[in-house]
Amino acid sequence: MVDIQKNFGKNHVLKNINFSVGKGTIHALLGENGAGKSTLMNILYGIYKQDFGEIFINGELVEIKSPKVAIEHKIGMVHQHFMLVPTFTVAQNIMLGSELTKGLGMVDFKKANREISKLSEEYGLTINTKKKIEDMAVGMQQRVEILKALYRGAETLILDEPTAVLTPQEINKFMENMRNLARDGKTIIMITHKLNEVKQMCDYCTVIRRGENIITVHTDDYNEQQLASMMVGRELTFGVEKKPAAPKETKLEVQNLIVNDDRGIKRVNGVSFEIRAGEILGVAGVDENGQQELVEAITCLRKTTSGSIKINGKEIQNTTIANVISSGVSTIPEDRHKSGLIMKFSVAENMLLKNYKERPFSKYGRMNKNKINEFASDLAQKFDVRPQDCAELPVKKLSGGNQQKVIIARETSDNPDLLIAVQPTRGLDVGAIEYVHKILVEQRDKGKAVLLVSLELSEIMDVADKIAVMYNGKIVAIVDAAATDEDEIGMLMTGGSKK
Amino acid sequence: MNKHDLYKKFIPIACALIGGFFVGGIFLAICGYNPISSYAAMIDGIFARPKYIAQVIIKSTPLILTGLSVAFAFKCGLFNIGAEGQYMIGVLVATLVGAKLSLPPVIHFVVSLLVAVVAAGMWGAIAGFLKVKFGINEVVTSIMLNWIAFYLYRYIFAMPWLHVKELDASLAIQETGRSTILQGFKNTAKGKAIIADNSVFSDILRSDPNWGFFIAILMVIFIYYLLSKTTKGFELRAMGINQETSRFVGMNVSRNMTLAMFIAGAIAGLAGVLQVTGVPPYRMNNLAGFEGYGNEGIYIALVANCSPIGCLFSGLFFSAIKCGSTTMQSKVGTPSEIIKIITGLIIFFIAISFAYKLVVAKMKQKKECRCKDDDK
Repeated sequence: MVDIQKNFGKNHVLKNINFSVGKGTIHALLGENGAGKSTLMNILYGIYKQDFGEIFINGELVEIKSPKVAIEHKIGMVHQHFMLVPTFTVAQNIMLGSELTKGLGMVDFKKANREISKLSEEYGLTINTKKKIEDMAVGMQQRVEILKALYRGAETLILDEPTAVLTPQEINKFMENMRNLARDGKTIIMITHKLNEVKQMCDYCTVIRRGENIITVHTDDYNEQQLASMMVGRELTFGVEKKPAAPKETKLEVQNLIVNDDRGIKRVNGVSFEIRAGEILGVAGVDENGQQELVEAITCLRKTTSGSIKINGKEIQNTTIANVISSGVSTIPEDRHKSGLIMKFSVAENMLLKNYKERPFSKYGRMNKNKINEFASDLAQKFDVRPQDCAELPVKKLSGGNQQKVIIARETSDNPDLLIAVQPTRGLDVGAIEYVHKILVEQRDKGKAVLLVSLELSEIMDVADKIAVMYNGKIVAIVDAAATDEDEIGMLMTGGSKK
Repeated sequence: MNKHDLYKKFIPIACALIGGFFVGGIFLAICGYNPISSYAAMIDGIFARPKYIAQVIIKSTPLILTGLSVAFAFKCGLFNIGAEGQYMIGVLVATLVGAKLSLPPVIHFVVSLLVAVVAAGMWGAIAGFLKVKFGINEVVTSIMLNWIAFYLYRYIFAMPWLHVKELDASLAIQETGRSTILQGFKNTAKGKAIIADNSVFSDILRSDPNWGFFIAILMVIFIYYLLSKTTKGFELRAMGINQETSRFVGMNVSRNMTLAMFIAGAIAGLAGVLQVTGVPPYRMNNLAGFEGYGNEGIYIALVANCSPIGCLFSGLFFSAIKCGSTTMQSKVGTPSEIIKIITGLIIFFIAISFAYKLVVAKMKQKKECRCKDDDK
């Protein structure tokens, strides 16, 4: 890809990218959120068209007008959010769009199953072609996505954040599969911001920063710290600097909690734990093992079947959300667009979503716009929200990291006793992640109890003082973060036992 | 919202209005009517005499209010398709209180208004409650409630203590319960003298003016203030954009949803009250079908982009073209049904305007690409 430029309106996402990948190599595309790596790959896959610049495949100039054309050029892409139909089988999903027919438009399922099984064996991606997607683990679903691309003859595979949703064990298997594919002559491009995987798996790495490529290196020649600095353009502190915890009284106490989901199935199956003031408890686990229902029960978004949840000794389960909030619980939700912000509202209005009824923001029901904007500007300054004068800007115009800062500003400024953070750094770049972690530790040092639920194991390992591992609705272990490692937690997350 | 955004919202609607009349003109031409003279006659029928202007204003009241009802509900994230039924409840209860009770003037009117508006509000709240408690879509329940209101209306209408056989109408609302302006005055000696002298005044008085329009304006201002300046309006708007987040931050979304439907119902009911207390013969009539004001509120709100103040102008606009069309028919012979066609076209064009935005964006993109290629 030569001299690629791409603009979205006034936003110069890609300024002058030159990107080349050698056949049979695993090449990482490294960069912060918003650097332009996804856009660049979307251009390669035909989802966008570049405003300027040319693409050459095997030395030949090509014009990639659509994904269909990209597939004809033997390029396949596996997206971060899988594009699979949950109720269809593996074979049906892989075939979708290129169905094999046996005359009169009737789909030849037998032949498809056979061919796909052959394909999966050839590449060592064993799979049961008749199984439905919704009955499969995420790691296996990803295999289906990869097979989808290979089925259409992909020689070049683009993967967007492939390990974001995998367990440590699945990640190892994934790396093995990728190495095998590369050995077979396939070219693999990985969009990622996980430095350890870049080091472990990739031969080369191109670092993109703010729409310009900075450097392309042989990954063996650099260490993680250096790669990170290149990516961010400054020195980055690794891990989270924190003093040892000095926990005091118990703030949150959960006892024998049982919570059902909407279909009446037990999702939290007798969970007990406590969090003390000045302590961060990280809940580790693969997605869908009860963490969501646990948090929903604590915040009263969901009714419990039995058991108790106490804040400062007061039972709060099955009351109201407003009651939980006034008992001193603040939550940074998993999905900032869906449950954390009102996108069309201004930044100021979003910062005041909880205390708009208080003086001086409103009096006898009448809202005081000036005071509200003043307060918001203050908070924006304190939390370094960019742009600084954003109080009246609709919050949807802010970047993901800044949106998260708005939520954090709101949820920490009412001085909660318990701060719950669910996937607080999802979709954020390294700089923003660093900031969020700093805030969490800051709150803990101020004497708050912090409950961190995350699917990102490294985040839990970095930030938490204690780690509770959830598997199948139960807490299988609570360990000190300092006394364990990723392997052990990985084992516990998938039902194994402590070393 | 700055000036630029305001224009952006105006343009699609203005284009839809112009487009509706333009294509309507083509229909007229095809059927052998001269569109220019037809439209000229229509404009004549709106502005030529004070009587006409008065009619437009008087007839706009129910449209402004039903439009406001639907627009308000939409801002709260709800579809109030039940404006028709809520309107009927307003008429029904206002007639009952206005005809059967005897109270001193002004108080009588105010009491019937309040009771009827609350009744209509409750009618709307039923749909809200069912949505909150059982998750039933308010469109479905509203439409069902429309029919229930319709048959309830006819049932009570037929009651011997309300029905007047010779007129096939209900008892009339007593003078004390009406919202007319200077009704009695025009029959007094003094009144007749002033009328003889002043043609503008006589024109207006003869159109049976009532307080409805002014009350409607007050309602528009009230809803505008409620939504943009109060804490309750803040909650309602939040709920209208994102229920999930509203719940998450502790707002009582269930209560607000029912409240929103209550207010929407009350506004639609107010439309009915003002109609029956302000327009002769001040009686319930034999309702063969839906009167239609409630349903018209839906497109009034659409053209107003669901803004309260927009509903004022939208209601006046559609009242104007309706009034103008009857004059057009009597003066030039063009059938007044063309207005229904034009209204339909306007709605159609507004729906298309969403596609227009996409086309404009796509064209902008292409233009940028072309410029870059030229620079190469």
